[in-house]
Amino acid sequence: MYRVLSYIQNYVKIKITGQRPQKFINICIRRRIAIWDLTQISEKEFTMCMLASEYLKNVHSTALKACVRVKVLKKEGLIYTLRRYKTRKALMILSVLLCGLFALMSSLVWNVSVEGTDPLSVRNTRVLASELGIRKGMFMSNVNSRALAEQLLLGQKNLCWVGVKKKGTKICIEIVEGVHYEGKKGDEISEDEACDLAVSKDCLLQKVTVEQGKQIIDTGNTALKGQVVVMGEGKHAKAQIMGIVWYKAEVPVEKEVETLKYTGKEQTVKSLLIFDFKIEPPEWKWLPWNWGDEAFKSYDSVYTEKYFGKNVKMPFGTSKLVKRETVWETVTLSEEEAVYRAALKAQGALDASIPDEGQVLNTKSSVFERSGKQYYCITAEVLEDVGITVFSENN
Amino acid sequence: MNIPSIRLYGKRKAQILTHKGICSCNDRCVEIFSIAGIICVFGKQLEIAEITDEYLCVKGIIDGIAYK
Repeated sequence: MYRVLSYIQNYVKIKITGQRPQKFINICIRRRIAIWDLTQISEKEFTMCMLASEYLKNVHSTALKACVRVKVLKKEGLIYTLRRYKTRKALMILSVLLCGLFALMSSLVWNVSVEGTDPLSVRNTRVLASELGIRKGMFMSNVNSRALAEQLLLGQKNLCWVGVKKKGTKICIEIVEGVHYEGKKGDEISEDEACDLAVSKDCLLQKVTVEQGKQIIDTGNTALKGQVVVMGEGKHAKAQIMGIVWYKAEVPVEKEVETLKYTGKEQTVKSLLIFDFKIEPPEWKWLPWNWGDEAFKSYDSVYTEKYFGKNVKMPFGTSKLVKRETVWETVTLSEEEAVYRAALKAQGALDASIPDEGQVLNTKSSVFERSGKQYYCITAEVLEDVGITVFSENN
Repeated sequence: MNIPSIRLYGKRKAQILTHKGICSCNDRCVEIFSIAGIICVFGKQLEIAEITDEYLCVKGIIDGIAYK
């Protein structure tokens, strides 16, 4: 540190020769002149370093007083170096450009990292941050950590805390997931208003836990969609209504299906990544790497990105897009394969219709024929919360 | 307080605070003026690394420090 400061302030290395060189040093000390790298060459000769400004101001008179001769051996420092390179203009311009580039690069965001326990929340936070304009290559000064943390927290209900830190050229977002309670589906009725509880679907009432109000349909009976189960009687009804709901999915069993097949032809497009900007190679036909390449009519693709650096991610990298040509082909399946395919499709459709919090009690599947065509049918008994709030009929 | 204080960092470095200047200096002995007398630092390859109006740093292989 001391060396760097002295280099910035410029210093000289001098040689003093005289009968009593110690006297010169002592006078310098009394005049508060800092001296370093003091070495004795012989009994009457010393070399030392001191700041250039102090040398110019004090040394002449000090040397006269101490009866010594002073000789400058070396001049070191920023100004002397710049003076030395004054004539080499190209080097000067390049140095200035490099300094400017360094300053610019260090003021940009190189990486955005999101830390959290739930991968889905991490992904959502990343997407939301990019929607809010946080991306690689933006100026670090444009990022307001506190405002960003607030916006990320407001945008996601399942989070209870979000922290944003700027670490050099990296933005670190830390998220903590909490438990989010959603209100009962149905009309937006405040706690003060009187309301009843009805069922949202046709169901068999399995369990009704009443906190406030009166149950008017007994457990074990069927309730139709919209039918009131718990009456508020002038108050805000509160209850958990668990009912068994039947879900059904029906899919035709098809023996002739169209499938995608690879032709074996591949095309690879490599691009250069600088921050989040992609520089793609030109698609001109006359370029050697584009000879013989024809655009695929139908293809699927695999895209990969790779940034340089292991521990510290650099803002430069390459991306690779591999296109594989595909064609649609009609395939005739055996009966077993056709049923298996239809079963998979039906299961998918059934899963999509069952709510996430529903508990599947039982499933049944069958293959039947209708108007000369085979169908695969799957039904499921699901236990779920079917209660919704509705305005009291008296209101 | 003008009393000199001496800090010794192993055998390689000695710091003298509140000195009054250099009496003599060579690679075997450095003599320093102080209010309590002349402080002698003996050793080999001695050199004054830094010197200001209050502080002095001697580097080298120090064998001993004594008042003259």
